[in-house]
Amino acid sequence: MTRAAELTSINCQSCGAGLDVLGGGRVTVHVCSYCGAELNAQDDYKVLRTYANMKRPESPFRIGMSGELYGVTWTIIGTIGKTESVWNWVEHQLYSPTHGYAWLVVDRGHMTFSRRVRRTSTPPWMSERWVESAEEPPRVRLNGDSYKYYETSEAEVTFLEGEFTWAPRKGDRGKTISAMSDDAMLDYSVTGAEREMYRSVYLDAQATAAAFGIQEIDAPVGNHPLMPFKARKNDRFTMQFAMVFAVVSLVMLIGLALTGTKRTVLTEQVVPLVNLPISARFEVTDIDRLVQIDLFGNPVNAWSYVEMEVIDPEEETLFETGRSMEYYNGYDADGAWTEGRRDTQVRFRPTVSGTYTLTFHETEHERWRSSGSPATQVRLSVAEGVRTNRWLLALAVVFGVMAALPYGRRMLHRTRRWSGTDWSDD
Amino acid sequence: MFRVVFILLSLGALGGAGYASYYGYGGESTDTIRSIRAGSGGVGGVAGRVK
Repeated sequence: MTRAAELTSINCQSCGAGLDVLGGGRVTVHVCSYCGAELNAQDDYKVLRTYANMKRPESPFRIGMSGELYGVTWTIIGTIGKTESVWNWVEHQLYSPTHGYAWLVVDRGHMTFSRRVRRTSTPPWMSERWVESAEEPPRVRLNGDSYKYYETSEAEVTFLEGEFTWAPRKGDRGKTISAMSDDAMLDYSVTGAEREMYRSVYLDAQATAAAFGIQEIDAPVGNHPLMPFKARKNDRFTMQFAMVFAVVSLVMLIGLALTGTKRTVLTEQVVPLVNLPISARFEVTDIDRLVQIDLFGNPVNAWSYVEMEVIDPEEETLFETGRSMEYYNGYDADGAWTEGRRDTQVRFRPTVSGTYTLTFHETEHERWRSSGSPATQVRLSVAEGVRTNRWLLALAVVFGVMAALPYGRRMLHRTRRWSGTDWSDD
Repeated sequence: MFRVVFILLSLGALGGAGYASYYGYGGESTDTIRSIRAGSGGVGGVAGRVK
């Protein structure tokens, strides 16, 4: 028996309340919004059962509201409240005279739009057995998109109101296996003997509410696996130009290296660290750049510290400093090892051109082993016209990070989307 | 606006970093103890430079 097509309202057979009939010819049951009586829409709206004291779940949508989604005007004809563990959500059955039935799901303020999929995926079904025996997350393909297993859930019906195309009961439990692509979720649902596949996509909550005539809604809470990545307006520009500037920084760095101004002003010589103080003199002509003093000592299993003083051409002390050189070696279970550095350097900016004097003063040292020997000499060389590449290198890194940031945000978004999966490699 | 500011700041940073790198600014050893020079001690003071 089917319902009369021209029927637009009925009176509840239980409480007598007037109920709008909105749902089209495939409606099977109608749950009274006032008394919770479930009426058989296929048999003169006889009372099948009554659900008393059902607590209406939170949702901005009400039965009878109409709105346009994807160019189709949908009317909300039914509301189901569902729960699983601590999670609660609301599913609104939608009806369009031209497009049939669909679902608008409200989950912590996030909204998704679901339609039953008539085409079969490849493979046609994602079963619980497949999920449990798979070594890797099962994948299916549908319309060219790949869907990877996301979770298995078992929800319980806690609330019913309005018209439905089947006969749900409060307390019904259904198992759903979900698989997700880049922008959609496939749900393989089993309720009793029913097996259905739904495809869900994410909706902008504010726009959806507005489409149904709702002015204000609370913002969605937390993350939803179907939330799309929101690229910032200048992401592409920033990525491209930051990459260009990073390359320019590196090219300038290479340019600096190829056009070096470094010039040796004191060729390498051996300075004995005995009978100190001992001095070496060198001529500086380039006062626009740095002077670099290179030292290489010969400590073995010991450290040596040498104090130095640089005197400028005006016979004034420019600065005093000291340098350590150390070197250790030995054998252990992993074989031979060495540690420490015997080379060191001092860089300074000359104030005037002329002859500078480097004087080694006293030294300190300590043997690590009795057989160790502290530095007895250093190989000394001095160069002028020294530049530094740290600024261009740092800038190249900064630009590189800026270029990578939008990509990093995208990766973070992907991680968040998949954070709720119950797949475990164990 | 953002794009213009971004490009200008980037060019400025490139110019500044290139200049500083070319002349070695910031490359000096930081553990050198500079001598302190004073100018004239003034009338009746100790003339000349002191460390």
